[in-house]
Amino acid sequence: MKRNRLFTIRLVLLGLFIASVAVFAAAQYGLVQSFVRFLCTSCLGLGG
Amino acid sequence: MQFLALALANIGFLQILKTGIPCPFFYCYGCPAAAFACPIGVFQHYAALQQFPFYALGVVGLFGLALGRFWCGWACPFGTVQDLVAWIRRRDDTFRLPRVAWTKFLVLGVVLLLAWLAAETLFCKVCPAGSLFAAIPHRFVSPELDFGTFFYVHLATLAVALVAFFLIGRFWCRYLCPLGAIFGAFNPVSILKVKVDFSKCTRCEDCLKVCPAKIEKLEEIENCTDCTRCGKCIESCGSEAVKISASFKE
Repeated sequence: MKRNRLFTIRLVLLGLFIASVAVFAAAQYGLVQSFVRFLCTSCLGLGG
Repeated sequence: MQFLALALANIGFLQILKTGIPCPFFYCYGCPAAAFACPIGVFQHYAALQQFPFYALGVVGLFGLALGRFWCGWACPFGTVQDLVAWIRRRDDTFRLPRVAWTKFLVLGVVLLLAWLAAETLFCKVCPAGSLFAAIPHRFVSPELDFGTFFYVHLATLAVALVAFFLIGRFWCRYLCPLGAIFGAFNPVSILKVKVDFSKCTRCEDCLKVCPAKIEKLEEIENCTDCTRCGKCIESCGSEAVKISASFKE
């Protein structure tokens, strides 16, 4: 019973996460990449 | 493996190599050579924008579902720093603090709430990983930039963190890491697990004595949010009762 429940939870989570990536990667990847590409100087106390 | 992860995190020395993939460990994307995004930084940005990070949460969720806090024990550069400090210390913790699981969840909640309220990534301004991996390296690679108040705040938080690491092993991972909280929440359902075979276990508790996460009960090993799957318990077990398991079905 416990094993079946864990299997179901994993399956549901796997489906949710894969769907999240598949559906939203095109729209959100660029924004996440911009965080890596452009330095937040104020976050690091740079630039005065 | 930890140094390999650190090297991989730093392949973004060219702009074209900087990706939009969140990494499964605590590493500042402000580092001059960062190739991946810090999940906590990304989640803060989305909280500040009052949007939901579906894509980033999906990626982090897949990492967590697969391996749980394995990433903390085997890949996190900030964990490596703590291990190095512990190696320099060469003796057990100066202060033995009890295991408290909820503090890192509180930190995660406060970090996201502050970002949402202030519409700014406030935690990044004091993050000790940002101090070590981004603020200090920029002191050398970007000497043209002026250094403001928060640069010195970064230095102060890093100094406090290093002292804490010296006194208490894996202090950040055990009590404060917001990403550790996320991956810790996946420990009970992750595919990779550390399991105790109680038919073989002699209850000598040698595994608990060597545990860097200071897990206190044998029954807690499998599902607790603090286990980083470092494998020290497996090495220490004379009766081979503790083992690593990777199965989607059980």
